[in-house]
Amino acid sequence: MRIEGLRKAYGSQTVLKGVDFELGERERVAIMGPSGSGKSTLLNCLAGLENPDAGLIRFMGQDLGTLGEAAVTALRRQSLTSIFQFFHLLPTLNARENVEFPLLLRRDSRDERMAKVAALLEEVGLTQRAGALPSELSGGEMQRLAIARALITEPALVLADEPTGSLDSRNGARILDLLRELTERHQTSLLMVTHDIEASSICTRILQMRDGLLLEDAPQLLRPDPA
Amino acid sequence: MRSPTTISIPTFWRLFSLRHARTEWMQTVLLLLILGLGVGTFLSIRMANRAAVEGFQLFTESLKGPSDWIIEAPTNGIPVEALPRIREQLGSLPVQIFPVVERNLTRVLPSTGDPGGAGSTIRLLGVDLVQIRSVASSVDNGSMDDFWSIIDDPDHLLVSREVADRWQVSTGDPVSLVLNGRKVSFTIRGILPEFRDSVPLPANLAIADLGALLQRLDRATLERIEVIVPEGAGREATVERVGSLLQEAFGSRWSVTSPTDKEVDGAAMTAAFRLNLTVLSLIALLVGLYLIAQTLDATVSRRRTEIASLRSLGLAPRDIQRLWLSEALLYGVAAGIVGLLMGYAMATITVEAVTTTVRALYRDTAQTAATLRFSDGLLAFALGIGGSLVAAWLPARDAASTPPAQFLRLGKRIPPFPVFQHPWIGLAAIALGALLLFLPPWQPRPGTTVPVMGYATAFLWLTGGTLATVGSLRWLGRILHRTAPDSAPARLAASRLRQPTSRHQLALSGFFVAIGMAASMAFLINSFQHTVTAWLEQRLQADLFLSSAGFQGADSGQRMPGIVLDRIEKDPEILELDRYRSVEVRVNGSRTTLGGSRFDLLGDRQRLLWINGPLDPDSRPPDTDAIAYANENLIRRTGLAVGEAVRLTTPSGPVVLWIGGVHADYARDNGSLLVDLGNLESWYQFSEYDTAGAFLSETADPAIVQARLREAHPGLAVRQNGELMDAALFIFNQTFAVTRALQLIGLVVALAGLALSLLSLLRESGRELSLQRTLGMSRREIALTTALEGMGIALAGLLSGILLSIGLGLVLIYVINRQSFGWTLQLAFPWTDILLLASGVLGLGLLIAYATGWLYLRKWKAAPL
Repeated sequence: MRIEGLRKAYGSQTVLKGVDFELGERERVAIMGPSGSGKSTLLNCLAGLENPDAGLIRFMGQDLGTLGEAAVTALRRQSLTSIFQFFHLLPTLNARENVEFPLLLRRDSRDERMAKVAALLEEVGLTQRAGALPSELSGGEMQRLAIARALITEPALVLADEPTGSLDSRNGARILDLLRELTERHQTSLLMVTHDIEASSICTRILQMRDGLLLEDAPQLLRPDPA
Repeated sequence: MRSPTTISIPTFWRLFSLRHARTEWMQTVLLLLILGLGVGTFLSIRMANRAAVEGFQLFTESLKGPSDWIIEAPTNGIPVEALPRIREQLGSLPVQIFPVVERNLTRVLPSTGDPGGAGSTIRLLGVDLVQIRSVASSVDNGSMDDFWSIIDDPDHLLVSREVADRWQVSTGDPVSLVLNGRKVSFTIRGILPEFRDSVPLPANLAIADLGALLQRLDRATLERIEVIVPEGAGREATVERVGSLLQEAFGSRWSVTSPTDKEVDGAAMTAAFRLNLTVLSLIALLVGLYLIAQTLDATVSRRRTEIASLRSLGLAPRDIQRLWLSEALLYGVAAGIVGLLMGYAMATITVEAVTTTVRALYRDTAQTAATLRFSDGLLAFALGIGGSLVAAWLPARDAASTPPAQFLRLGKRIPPFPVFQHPWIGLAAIALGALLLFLPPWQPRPGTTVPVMGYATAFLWLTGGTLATVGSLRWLGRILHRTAPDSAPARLAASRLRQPTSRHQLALSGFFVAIGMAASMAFLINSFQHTVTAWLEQRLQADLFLSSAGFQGADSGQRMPGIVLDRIEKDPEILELDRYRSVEVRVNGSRTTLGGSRFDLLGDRQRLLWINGPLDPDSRPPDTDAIAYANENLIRRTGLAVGEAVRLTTPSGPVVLWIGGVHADYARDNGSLLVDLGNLESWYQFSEYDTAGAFLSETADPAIVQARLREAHPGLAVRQNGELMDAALFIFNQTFAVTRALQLIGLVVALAGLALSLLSLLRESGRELSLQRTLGMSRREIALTTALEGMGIALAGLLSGILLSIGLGLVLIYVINRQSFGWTLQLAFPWTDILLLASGVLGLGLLIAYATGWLYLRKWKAAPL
């Protein structure tokens, strides 16, 4: 993914003031910064939920700005998925169905769906909770489920917005481990927005965002000891 | 008790309610229109019912004000010579005597020379024009000279503006009309004013001077004599004295009644019909109430952050409930205003439709305009406000009782109201309703029964069914899940149906009620049509049917002279002529019809559809005068039984009739007794007949005989068997026109409610929609999900509604109809109607649900997650 001169304003307030950066294959990048720095707006633009006012977003060789709605929808089904701070699971579907849902949209065969869902639920440790509704799961379980749902289509890139923001430190650490392990295993890139230094520990690169601008890689002192 | 921290209701309205209503203006407008339609339908039927009852006032009242006493003869009228005797009897008492001849008058079409055509028959009053000169002299703003010249013209006729427009005639035009079976010519000498002292004159009216009209009719008898006591001291005592003097002198020969008795009779006669319409008009209102509940529930769901904030600021649950109910009050007031306007607008149409039905079913009425009274306004507001508060009760309680933390928990699906989680409450209500059917009906006066228990059962089944249908959405969700396991929209819609919210339940309830009531009416109408067709096939045995043109029942005054029928009877191709004549009598205090036809033709040529009997005529007790066959309505109303005797007063003295059988008779619901024509002729001494059936020889061609009779007797309506059948079925369908319109309104409200429900569900699913887009669902797929969800609600409503309609249909046919009208109906399942209803509801439901989803998503912008 390559981003050049990305700008976004809400009325007179400019939130993104020309953001440039590049994300390589299988790379895990954390964007850190204080509240209101533009992190979430950047992520929403990358997810196609908001249109930037100016700039270029190239993903897998395609300019997202020039793609029609159908093409962006297809991209989301195949290659670009998201994880959210508040999990955002579909409340009427049980755990298995939530993970299966992206495969249904891709019209994968039933056997294929069942096999992939079973394997991924196993990977996130939710096989026993497969029939539970989101309202019956704990916060940690919900986020594990959201990770499984994000990875089920084996996307090229996962966008994560404060994935540990709603969890206690113990559950947060577990989620981060899982996220690192699974993105490595599934060879998926990860772009994570967070203000939690711990969370950025699983990333290979950390970028600093301030007042709508993305600064160079954060100083080494911000980087926690990977050990 | 209020908590120390609270806000006033006006402040709440200003800061929250009105702002939300303005932001969501489309939804607000739609809700108010639906509610307004519900209140308006109810109001317009109320106004139409009142106009129909007021229409029973005599036509003459509009010309000269109300009478105090009315003298009528059961047959043949009152001889003109009686006028001086009445005057003499009343001595020096200050009274005005107002003699009247009243007839139907039918236009002969200038193009064909035949009588007929829509609106061709009107009411003709023969009155002393001098007595109503304030009206008669104001025709076309004419002078008194003109007035006298009108009276001098023996062919004069004054018509209402509407009649002149309908017939396309103006002052000075000659017009050819049928009067008493004969073609006669009149000259239009003026157009009547539309009002007399601000009282509107009937639209279907013509008047002529009494003397001239009697000459034209070649008779010297009056329909009635009205007596008026002028205003002044001691009026009430004088009225009473006049009544007793008249009763004393003429009571044995003629009936002496007050107009109030007539209006009460008219109101009683149509009570069941009006009550049925009122109940039906409640469909839209009832469905509208479910929609208020649904809308307020949706606002609770959408505004949970607001509620949580208010709670956290120190408002007690009771305050929240009060504020939410106050918002319902706001909706109720607005619905009352919209309903009042819509009701007034709709009343013009409903008055016309109800009057047409009353004329076809009961008797001619002076059509009156819909008038809006202060009480109507009060009722509109009472319905709007009361209904809104009742409907808002559960959502308001839900808003008050849910802990703030639960409101703030994102993604948490709020469970349905507790009452929806106990289907056994609904089942218990249904069982109680069934038990009530074993209780007897309410009898407010002799001869009238009101099926209160039947209505109570219907109400319990409607409300109980609402609670018991809770499982149907889950069941449909499971079926959808199994039917399309590989479709993302189907799986998502199925999961939502399996876990319905209160909005789903309330939308389903609205559908259930609308479809249940509409389909049960289809059940009744179909059974009625089936029964009436079979009855007509049995009754209409003659080849040709004769009546005076413009004959619209016994009270139309249009009869065929006996000498004309004597001539017709001599036609070589007519084997038998069965004449029929009816008179009005009272049996055990109830007004009923005594008819006479030839009993020697019964069995071979004429047939009755027997409900009970007939008994052997030879077993008639010797102390009775004649055998009579009663219709089932009379039996139910009077409690008489086959084999019993009934005593009647006739002009020839009292007679005792022996009831030898009960037959089905769907032509009238005020009871009838049928006797041999010879008996009726000897008791009542008449020489005119209502109708006649001609049986032709086997070689005769009915069409040729019909043409021959028409040519020889242009004032007669001569119809073949099939034509009369068609005409009868046309009247039948006309009488159900209002019913069908009310069914349609109920369904429109339910479909509009579906759109409203789905819109609410979409509005409160903003985050979920954003998530679906993030997961890769296209707008089309999301719209399809909405459509499937809406279809699920429509289908569940349809299936449970049809189930309800079977139960309600049986109650309507075997309880409500029988107790209201006293008719036995054969059960006929309305397959075609149900199929049309089902395909219409599902087709429109799918369309509306998809369109709602698609239109909403076109404007919708994904929200950050």
